[in-house]
Amino acid sequence: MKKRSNPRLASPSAYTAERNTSTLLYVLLTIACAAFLATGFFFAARQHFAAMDLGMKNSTLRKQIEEMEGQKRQLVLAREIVRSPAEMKRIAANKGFRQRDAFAVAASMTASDKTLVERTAMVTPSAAGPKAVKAFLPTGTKPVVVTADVRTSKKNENLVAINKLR
Amino acid sequence: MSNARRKSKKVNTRQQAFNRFMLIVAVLVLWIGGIGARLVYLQVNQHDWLKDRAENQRLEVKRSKMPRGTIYDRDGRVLAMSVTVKTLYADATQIDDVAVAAKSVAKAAGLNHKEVLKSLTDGKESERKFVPLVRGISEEKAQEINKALDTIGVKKADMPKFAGLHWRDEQTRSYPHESLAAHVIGFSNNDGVGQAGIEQSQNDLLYGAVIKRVQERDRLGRVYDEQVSEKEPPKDVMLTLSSSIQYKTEAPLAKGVQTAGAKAGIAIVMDHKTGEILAMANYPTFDPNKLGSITSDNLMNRAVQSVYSPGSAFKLVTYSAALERHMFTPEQMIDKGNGTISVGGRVFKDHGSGGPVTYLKAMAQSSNVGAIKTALSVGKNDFAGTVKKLGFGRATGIELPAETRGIVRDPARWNGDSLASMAIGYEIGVSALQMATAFATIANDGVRVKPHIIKEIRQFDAKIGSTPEPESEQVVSAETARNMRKMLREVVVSGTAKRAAVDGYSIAGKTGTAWKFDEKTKKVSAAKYMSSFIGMAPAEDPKVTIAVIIDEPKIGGRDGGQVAAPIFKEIAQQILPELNIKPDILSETLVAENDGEEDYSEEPIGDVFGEPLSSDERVADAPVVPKADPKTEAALPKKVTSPEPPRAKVDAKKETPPPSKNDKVKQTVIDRPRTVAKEKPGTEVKRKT
Repeated sequence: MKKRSNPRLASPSAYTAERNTSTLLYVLLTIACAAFLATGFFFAARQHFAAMDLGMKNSTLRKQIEEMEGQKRQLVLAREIVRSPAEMKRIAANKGFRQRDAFAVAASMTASDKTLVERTAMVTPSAAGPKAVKAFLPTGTKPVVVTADVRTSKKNENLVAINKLR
Repeated sequence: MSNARRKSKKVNTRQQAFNRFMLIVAVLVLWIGGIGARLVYLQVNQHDWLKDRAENQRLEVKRSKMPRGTIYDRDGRVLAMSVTVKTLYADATQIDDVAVAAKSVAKAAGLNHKEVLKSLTDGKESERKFVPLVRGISEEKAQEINKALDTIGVKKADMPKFAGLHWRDEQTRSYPHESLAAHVIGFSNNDGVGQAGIEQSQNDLLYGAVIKRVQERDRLGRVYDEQVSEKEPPKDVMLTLSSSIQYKTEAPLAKGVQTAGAKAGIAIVMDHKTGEILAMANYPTFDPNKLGSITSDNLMNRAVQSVYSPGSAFKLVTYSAALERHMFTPEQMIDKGNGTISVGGRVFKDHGSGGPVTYLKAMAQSSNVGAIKTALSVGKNDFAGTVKKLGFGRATGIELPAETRGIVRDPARWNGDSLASMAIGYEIGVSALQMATAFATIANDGVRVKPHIIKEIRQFDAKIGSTPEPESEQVVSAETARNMRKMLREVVVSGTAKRAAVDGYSIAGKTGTAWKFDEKTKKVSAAKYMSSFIGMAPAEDPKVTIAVIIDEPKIGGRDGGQVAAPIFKEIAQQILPELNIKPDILSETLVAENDGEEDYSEEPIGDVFGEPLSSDERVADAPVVPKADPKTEAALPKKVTSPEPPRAKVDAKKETPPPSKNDKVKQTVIDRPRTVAKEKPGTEVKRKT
């Protein structure tokens, strides 16, 4: 017959010692679990707040980027405004500069006949025979007599000079 | 006895502990039950309300527009750009004391206190959540207002720290060059939708999409998470225009239109090799920054939306058609007869005397008879074919809205005199761009390149996609184009466009002066003109084509040679060096050969339909041409008919040569003081005779 262990039959001191040990183990286990749980919660909370902080920083930076882009656009626009002919005119006027009165258009359209007189100068006879050259000269200017050859060579010289300059 | 007492006491202690325990349990059960009941109540009955409240507290949905795409010129200079501006608004439902808020806002933003108070009071009464207080202010100004409205103790994450006040980002479209190229760029409305020009035609590319931001906020309103909906950002448009050339085109045009007292003016500068429009100017113009200044009168882009009769400038088509069929060479002679021609029962007259002249001279003198005879020899169908091939009667396809096709009737519907009329630029409606393109075709050795104004589409400062090659087509032969340019060159050298001559550059082009169609009388009006000059430079190997059209010039000479040619000259003088085009001649202005023929520098048009202008119809300062002295006339060289006229035989020893007819005439004109009558508004100036 199998002998059953009966706590009542065990000695009181042994029973108490066994109970104390198991209780202590349970307590320690509970504390360990609680500590683990608390650490987990703590860690999670920390992560949570770190994430929120990161999110806020991210949001702030994103806003700053947008603001910087906006400012960049403003600056580009301001630069273009300053470089625009209309603004340059205004600035020049404020500095006391006066616009040159009229592009040549007005002069050409209204007053060209007054300032330029059509004259006919005679070209010195050359092998090709006499040649009349019409030129527009300021009033009172005596026509300069040139030969056709001279005119051509001067024209070429000047052309070469102009092209060199450019 | 004592044991029994001890036992009952022990029982009582246990009972007491049990009772206490049960009490605590009961309290806990009741407490938890109460909480449970409350939770059930909140989550079942108050679910929607609580959910909305929680989401409103935590989530915020914001919608904002991406900045509209930027328009650049060919050099990358900004022509139109959107910038973010701030709007200060009040959520009237969040403001407790309207009077205090109004006082603070008015002081901080420099507004009228009464107006702010009225806005806030009205908003409060109608429980409006958006009451705009200050609109379109810059970031700096917004910071100043934030500083002024910083209220201690207000728990609010957003600026300004003032209960019920918020900022909202909005956009405003800016055009830094103001009216420069306004008709090409157009403008967009407050909703960011293009209303004219490139802004309208490219609205789909430029439009800034609405993006949705879902922001999560903590209890202090600080954003800790944000989700932004992905949308395709708008694209930028780079135009072929050069703002510098545009300015150098607009300024002389404006000056010219003002000087001539004209109704309007158009100028186009085109690179005919690529079809790129370098400048497209209209006058009067408008400032797209000031939408209030835009009227129906100054809004129209006449260069592409308006139709006009080109007049003599259309002779380019007439002679091109004949040259293409090898019907003549520029040096061949054409007989102008007695200076009149009758076609379809209508008599067309010519300016000056008749007789045989070279085609070069016929073109230079803008001979109507010569052009009509040429057109008649070409024939109706071939002429119509050339008109079509040169791009008339259909839109050019430029990327601008509302482009006109022009008016070209089907040959089957032509009248007996239609061919003759069209040969000299009547009975046809063209746009300035069509004319510029036709001349550009001749400048480009007969290759017609489709005009375009968009160079490329960009995104994130980089070109996207490939720019297709512009359509091009050989319309007339290179030989025809070369001969045509030779004829056009003669127009500037000795014809109607002497004032278009530019120092150092050879210019070729054609003037045009046409009576306008009067809508009231349904007839062409001899009092209203369209004056034009379209030319190219340098004549031998053109690099650029420039068209100038002036609508209804009133002061001074009114024909193309007098009104449009000087504007052309001014534009060409400024832009040719900028385009790095080297001078190819010495000076055209100072050296021009006198072949002893009549002076055609002015192009009268009154005799186009056999109805010469009366002296009263001519303007005050039109040149007075007195009758030449018969004695002097006898000494003049006779008119020549050979292609290369021999020069007058003059004694070279004489220091003072006998004046020619022209010289006499001119000197007489110069010596005589001009009489310019004061022009009354609405009346024409009459010439004193």
